[in-house]
Amino acid sequence: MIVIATGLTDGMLLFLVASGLTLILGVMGVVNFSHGGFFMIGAYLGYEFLRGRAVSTWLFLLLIIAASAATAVVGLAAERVLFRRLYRLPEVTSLLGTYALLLILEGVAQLIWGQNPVTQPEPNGLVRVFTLASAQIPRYDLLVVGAGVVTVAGLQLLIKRTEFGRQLTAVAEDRFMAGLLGVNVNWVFAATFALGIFLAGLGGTLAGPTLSMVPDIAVTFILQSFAIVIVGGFGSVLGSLIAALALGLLHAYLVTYVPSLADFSLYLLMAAVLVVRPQGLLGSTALLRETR
Amino acid sequence: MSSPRTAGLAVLRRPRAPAAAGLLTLGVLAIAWPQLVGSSALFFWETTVIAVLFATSVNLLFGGGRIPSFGQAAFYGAGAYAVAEAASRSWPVPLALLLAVVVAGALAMVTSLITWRAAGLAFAMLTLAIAQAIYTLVVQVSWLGGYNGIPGISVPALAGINFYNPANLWYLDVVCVAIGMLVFWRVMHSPFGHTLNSIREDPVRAAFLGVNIRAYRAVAFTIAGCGAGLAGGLFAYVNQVVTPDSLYWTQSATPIIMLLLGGITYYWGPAVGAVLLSALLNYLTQATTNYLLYIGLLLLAVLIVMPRGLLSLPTVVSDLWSRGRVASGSRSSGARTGLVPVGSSTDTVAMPGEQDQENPP
Repeated sequence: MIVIATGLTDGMLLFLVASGLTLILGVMGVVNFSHGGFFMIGAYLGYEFLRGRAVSTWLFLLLIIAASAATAVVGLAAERVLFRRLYRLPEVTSLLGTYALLLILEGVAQLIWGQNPVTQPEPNGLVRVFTLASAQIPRYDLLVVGAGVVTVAGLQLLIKRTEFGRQLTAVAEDRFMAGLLGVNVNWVFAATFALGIFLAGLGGTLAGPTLSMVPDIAVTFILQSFAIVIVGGFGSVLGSLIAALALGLLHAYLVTYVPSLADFSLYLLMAAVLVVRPQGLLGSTALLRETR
Repeated sequence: MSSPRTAGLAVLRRPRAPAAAGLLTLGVLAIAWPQLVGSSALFFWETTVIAVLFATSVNLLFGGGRIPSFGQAAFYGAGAYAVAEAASRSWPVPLALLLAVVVAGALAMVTSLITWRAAGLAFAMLTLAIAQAIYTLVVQVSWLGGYNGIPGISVPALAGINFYNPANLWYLDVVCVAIGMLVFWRVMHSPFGHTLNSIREDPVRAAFLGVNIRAYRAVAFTIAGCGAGLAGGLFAYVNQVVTPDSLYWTQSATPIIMLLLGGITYYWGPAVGAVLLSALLNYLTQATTNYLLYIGLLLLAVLIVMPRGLLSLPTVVSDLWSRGRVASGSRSSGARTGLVPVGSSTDTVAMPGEQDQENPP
């Protein structure tokens, strides 16, 4: 039971980061290395809003959303000032542009918060554990899983049921054609990026209490998210949900029962999925095709 | 500026004297360098020329074939660990370096087979993941030293030359790097290199012309892996300790930054970028703890202002100049377009199709 709970929690955190990544990749065609940077900024902003105080659960939720929104604002600014200039470059070059942004974010975080780790306690109401089927499960895990579920539902509604979602799908499908049909591609790009960064910030603030924050978390977290995006299929939100949960569960299981293999869970999962489906679980083959 | 149609042949027509003089100068500098910079700074320069080789090998992929590998650290690290193991068994230097090249090349070949069907961004992310899996593996293997790596690598004497003398180590380093650079020059200017360039320009068209693009990419990937292995092996000798850091994914990003700074489309671009970035890092790490910020800002500035790297500076300037004179209509394509054949040196050559419609200034 505890294995499942830990697995789901870790998986949900991964999903929050990976969903933004896959959204940006699917719609804008940019591999966003700076995503980990925004994850880190989110974690630090959450800390900055609370300053290491433990508060009540509701206030915590409010501040998490505020911190994620603040991260999204930073992301939007980055998109308008820097990112926008990268779209016209070849994909490899733009990929390095996002890496440059990752370095900048990490540098700025070092400048503001220093190299010493800071920690953020969990909110008051969620410190204790509750017992389910004779397993002691931290209440904070509930919050994380809940946030993940809300995010999945929200994203699905947004993409499938709203005007913006239709525009987003159109741009992802063929940005040139969408532009001809009157979709403001520029605006959709900006909104998608802001949304993706909001999710990165959400992941960061939620992960805040579970890790000790150093600027380096930007680099360590991004790789797992990339793997999730590959396994789930480029641009597929549901695919990355399945992949993230599968990875979380597999990792939790291996940590408990086969610790020597735990660090490889990521690669085991990737190998298992990619041998059968090179395009990922729910991905289309579009991104595997040759491009000019 | 030569006219677009003939510019591709400029390499063939160019007189060889300046090139020879340039290489001669480099050679004389390399011989005199230990006296010029002193033995304390020699370590920095040794690692810098290794970075030059590493970045040049990566440029066979990025510049030569637009093969976006983000996992070259795996082969660099494989070479380093191979030399570390060989040195602990007192293998002679040439044999140890050969082992590094073979091990790294074999690893690269296996990787290219795993990624056989992937291209573009998928390939970038897969190579990244594979390299990171190798890192995870090495960290866990106890006989490779885990996180601590393998310390105390010494260079056995070769034909009576003893490498405790720092200048001798420098010469070994420079000679090996020069051989590596020569090989990459030959590869990039061989029929194989030109076919690779055609795949870069238009993989679909190349495939229709009968080129087995996946096989070409795999071979290029293997050759680049061999180069990375040689660079890693030399680094093991120079650094005298090998840690898993040499396999970590940020190690894959460094040469890419270098070749982008210098210019992805030029043979000497990665070399210029490597010297520049190494010098900058050396200076910044002493001056500030916050060097990542400045490296990131510099990289972004170069990407936005000069997407083709610092070696394209003359082009960018002449572009601005002619744009100022013409002041209307035909937008000069030089600074916008992506890639031109590697080896066209400092002559600017845009993709044929792009400049066909352009009026020469």
